[in-house]
Amino acid sequence: MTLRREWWIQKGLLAATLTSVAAIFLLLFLLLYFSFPLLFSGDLKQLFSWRWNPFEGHYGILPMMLGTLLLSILSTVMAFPAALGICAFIYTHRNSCLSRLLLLVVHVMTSIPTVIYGFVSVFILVPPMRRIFAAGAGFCLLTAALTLGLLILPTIVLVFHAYLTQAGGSLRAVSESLGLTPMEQFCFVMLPSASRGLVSALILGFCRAVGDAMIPLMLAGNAAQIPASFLDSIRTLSAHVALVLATDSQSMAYQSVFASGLLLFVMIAMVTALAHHLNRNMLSRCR
Amino acid sequence: MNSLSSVLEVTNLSVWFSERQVLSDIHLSLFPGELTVLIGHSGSGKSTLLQSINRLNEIFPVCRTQGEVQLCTERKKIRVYQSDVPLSEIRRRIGMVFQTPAVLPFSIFRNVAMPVRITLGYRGNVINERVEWALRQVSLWDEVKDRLHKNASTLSGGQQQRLCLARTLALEPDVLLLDEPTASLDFKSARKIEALLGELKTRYAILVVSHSLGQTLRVADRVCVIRDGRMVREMGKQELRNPAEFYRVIETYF
Repeated sequence: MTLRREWWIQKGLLAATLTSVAAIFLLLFLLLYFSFPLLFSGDLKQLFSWRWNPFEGHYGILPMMLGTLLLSILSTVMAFPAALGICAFIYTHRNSCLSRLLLLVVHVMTSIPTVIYGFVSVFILVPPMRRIFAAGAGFCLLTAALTLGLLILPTIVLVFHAYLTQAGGSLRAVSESLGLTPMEQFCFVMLPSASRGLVSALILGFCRAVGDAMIPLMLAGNAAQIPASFLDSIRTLSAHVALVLATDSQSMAYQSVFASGLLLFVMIAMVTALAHHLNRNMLSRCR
Repeated sequence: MNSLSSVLEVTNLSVWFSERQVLSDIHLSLFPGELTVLIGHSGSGKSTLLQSINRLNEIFPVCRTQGEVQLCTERKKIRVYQSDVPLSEIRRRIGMVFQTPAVLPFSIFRNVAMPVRITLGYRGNVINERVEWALRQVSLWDEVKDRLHKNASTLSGGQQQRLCLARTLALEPDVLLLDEPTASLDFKSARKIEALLGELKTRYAILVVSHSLGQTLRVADRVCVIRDGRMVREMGKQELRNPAEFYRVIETYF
């Protein structure tokens, strides 16, 4: 009976795995299929240029790619110290009510819809940004990065916290017995031994930032340009896809959506591969 | 009675985990130059006693301790549970080695050097000297001197356990607590550790938890039998010289 159940479980898991793998390959295939005409026509060069002005026949999506990269890197850089601080606090105040509350808040943050973050930021963050910096409308790279940083913060915290808890038990007892204070344990034992976890957490946070469309769409201003400062408006690939799909359905602009999708896919795949490579290197160094 | 004054004095110690009393009214003294072995059934409270001496049981939020533990160093007496001496210093002075070799996931060198740098505040060459000294104490230096910067997990189980011992010794402890230090090791490595304990006891007061009666007879100067959280019998050198008597007592109290 148990054997039979196990057989079903095994087959079920295999089916689930194969479905997810197939879905990803199908996605890649469809993206390639739709971008095919573009990739093998002379329009490709036009697409990979720095100018987006559809009314004059310029369909360059490189500014969007730059925007995506800048926004994702900036928001990850902003979320990183905050996430580290939160994890340190939770670790060093393990049994206090405050750290439990903090962890609960972080959990709740993951379930808040993205649009709420954007919506609240439009009313709370944009006006002061406009006033303080007195440049533009306040819809800019910095505003979007701050909000996106907040959005990916719980992802980074929870993934790293899970690693810490996993590695924690025995390491904690050992470092306690050596006379290290909780903060010293965190800095000199937990952080170095869970560095893999930290990298994974950052990569996941970064990928989430790359893929998010709502925050840049609502807060970054969406001007397809190369920003000269943090206070300039930008457009990301994801926001570009959303914007064009909502307004167009056949022109070259529409075609650029597929190239954007493909580019996003390739970017995320590359970052994931890099993370995998880093992790493997770290593991082999540990051995 | 031992003519020397004790290094560590446990008086009236009782420990509870939630509502369950794990140790009741324990009295125990550790003397310099003497190795005391704690024996008893699994779950009798041996490890809890060890961990309540350096307050390691405090990492379990449900644990409650009553009674007194006093550490008498050359300069001062430290009341482990009531003193204003920082917990980190207490833990450093009462060194502990665990049952399974608990190396940190760093290099051999860093395993010893990092705690020295942080808890003793040493810098530069003093650390290198201290690491070499500690590794020599546990006869590990010659085996690892050419690969100090390799990860400590590349060492064998016995070597890892000696590294843990070296790491503890490097922190200049007054007392050593060892929780079944040879339980996870093969025969040869275990014998090596036993020989080491014989040397170390001349300089430290040592308390060892052991499950092996043979080992207890080989290394102990004094044996304390613990049952259901109570110290039920203490045996001195005289009694230990007679193995038949020792086994008779064990039969009675186990």
